[in-house]
Amino acid sequence: MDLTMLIDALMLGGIYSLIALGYSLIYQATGLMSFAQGDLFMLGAFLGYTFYSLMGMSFPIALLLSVVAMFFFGMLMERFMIRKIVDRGVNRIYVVLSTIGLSIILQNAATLIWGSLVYRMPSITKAEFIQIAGTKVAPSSLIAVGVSIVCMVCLGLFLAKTKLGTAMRATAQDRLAASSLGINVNLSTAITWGLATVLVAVAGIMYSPLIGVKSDMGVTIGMRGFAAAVIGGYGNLYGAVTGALLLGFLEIFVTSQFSSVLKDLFIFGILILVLIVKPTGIFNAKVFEN
Amino acid sequence: MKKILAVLLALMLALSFVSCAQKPAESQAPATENKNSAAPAAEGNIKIGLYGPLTGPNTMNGLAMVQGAELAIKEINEAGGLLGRQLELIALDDKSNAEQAVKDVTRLCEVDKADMILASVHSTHILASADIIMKNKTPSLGMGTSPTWLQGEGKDYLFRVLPSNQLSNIAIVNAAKSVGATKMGIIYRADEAGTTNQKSLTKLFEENGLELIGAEAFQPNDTDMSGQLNKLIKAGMDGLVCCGTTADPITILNQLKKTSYTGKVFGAEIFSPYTIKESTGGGANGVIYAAPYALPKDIAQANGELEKNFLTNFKAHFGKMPESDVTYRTYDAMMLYKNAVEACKSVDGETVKNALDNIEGFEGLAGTFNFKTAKDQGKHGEGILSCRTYVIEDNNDILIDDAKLAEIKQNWKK
Repeated sequence: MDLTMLIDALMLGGIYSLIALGYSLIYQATGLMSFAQGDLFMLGAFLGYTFYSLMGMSFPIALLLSVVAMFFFGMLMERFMIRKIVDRGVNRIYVVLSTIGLSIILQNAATLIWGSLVYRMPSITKAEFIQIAGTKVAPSSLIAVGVSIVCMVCLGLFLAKTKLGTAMRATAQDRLAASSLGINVNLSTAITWGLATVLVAVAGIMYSPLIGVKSDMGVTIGMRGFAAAVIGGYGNLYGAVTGALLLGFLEIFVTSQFSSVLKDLFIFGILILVLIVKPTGIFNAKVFEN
Repeated sequence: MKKILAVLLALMLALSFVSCAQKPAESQAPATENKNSAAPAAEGNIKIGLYGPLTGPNTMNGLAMVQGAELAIKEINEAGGLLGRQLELIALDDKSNAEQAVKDVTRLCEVDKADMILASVHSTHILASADIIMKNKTPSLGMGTSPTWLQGEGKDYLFRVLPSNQLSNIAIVNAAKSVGATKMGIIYRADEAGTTNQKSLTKLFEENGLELIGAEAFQPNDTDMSGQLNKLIKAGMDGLVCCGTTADPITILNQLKKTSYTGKVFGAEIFSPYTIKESTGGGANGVIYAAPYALPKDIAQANGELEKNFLTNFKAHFGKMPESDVTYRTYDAMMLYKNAVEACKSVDGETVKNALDNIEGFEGLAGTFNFKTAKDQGKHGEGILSCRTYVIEDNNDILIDDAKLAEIKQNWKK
């Protein structure tokens, strides 16, 4: 594996990590699953494209505005869709179904608002590529890797070191006990959804200079992020990152050594294998009922 | 109360018997009888069916299909219609799904009684629904580029409105040879059209003494192609042919930009939209592609009066320039249908089919349509028998000839 492939694998792993973290965060905190993550990835990319490319803002401002908008979108999604369904006391599968519905709405809404073309997200840096050890590398790829690492570290610190993070973890463990301790459980859950949405949105924005922006860009990548979360141990944040990096390297390795047609066969084959043989994933996530 | 209920029940029973009694009479109609030959139908609108990806991953192409058809129908209707009748468009969404396409065609033929069908951009969908088209004797003008759906028996009612990808591939290989590319790589979408393209190119490379150093596939929703590209570059590729849909070149070119590749890029009509040039930030410059048309950004760049009029009317109607070459395809299809109906003075399926088969020297946006010559050569349904070649320079499409190819060869520093 040469430098180009190594950076590509790290970048893919970083992008998948953010998506997988979104899945795991939601599951860890609420025990629910969302299949809208792929299309939230797309929505984040479109917002970034609108602020950065269409409105001509600087990239950090465009990223910040997109993150804020997506955070509130995630919270509103929880408040007006997820919580309404959960409060009805129905089976949790209905929440999953609602997120599938939302993903279709998001795709169609993006087509209506932005159109059905592939749009170009300009490079984050002035230079389209730089030379590292004689190899041409896109700075956007390196920045994507860096931002992914920063997001993961920040999320870890937020959950471990802040009061709000502790409240979120407490809510995840026992909603009733957390509530009796004065924690605003609803707010804590909404923030979890907001953060999960921010993570995928950042992934979408960072990845779009390399792949363009289009309404169906999140379909496959969302599924791969999900596979990464399961392989790592569904609901375990370290597992999500490990599973994602593993998939990033696997994807590049399979494509370069065999055929790209086989990469999804490998990825989803491993997903099924993990579900059958070791459903707890690499990090022994708590997946068994009782 | 009971009496009223009894009367109502009796009435309902009587009505149901009447309707049941009528059904066998309809079903006993001879299979060969054409719906359009009946006198009452002649008084209504001429129904133009359309099926394509109006939602889902290929929405752009589906919507472009509708736009081209809408514009042509508007122009025809404003000029008095066909045979004194107005045209009416019935557009159905196949969601890029072959099973749905078959359902759509069945509905268009058997429920809506379409007089003509504008068939999908997906070659597999046209192939899957060919039997229904034949059974109903409904002329169908298809937008797919794969040669397969016009090959073999039972395709009499199918016609193609642009060059097949076999013709584009011949033009691509000729261009590659002319500019001095020797080690060819292919990156193709893993679908029916992409795979047939790849096979056709592989054969053509062999026949023309070009070395194929690798053919890499990608899945329709793939976002990362760097692995495939790097593999081909490492193998020493100096000519890359891209086969896919209009959305694919942007991803490929954007990812190619971050590699050390200095070779040439070739392709077909997927490079023709001006949006490709804008969306790759100059990454499309140098691409050589074979296509019946290049979509200009401005009306002033139109290739001839016919395209100029089309673009002027399109912009007046939709307020923008066409974003996909598929718009050109459906527009040409409608104008071919108009020509055939006016020639045979009928909308009867079989008569129109024969009239389409006799079209010769019809000037469309894609070039000169010669269905008659094609049929005489054993290529029924292929209207266009040659393909133009363009090079992208400064984000503009330049029509190329031998002199231009020689100039590109001279300026190319491998």
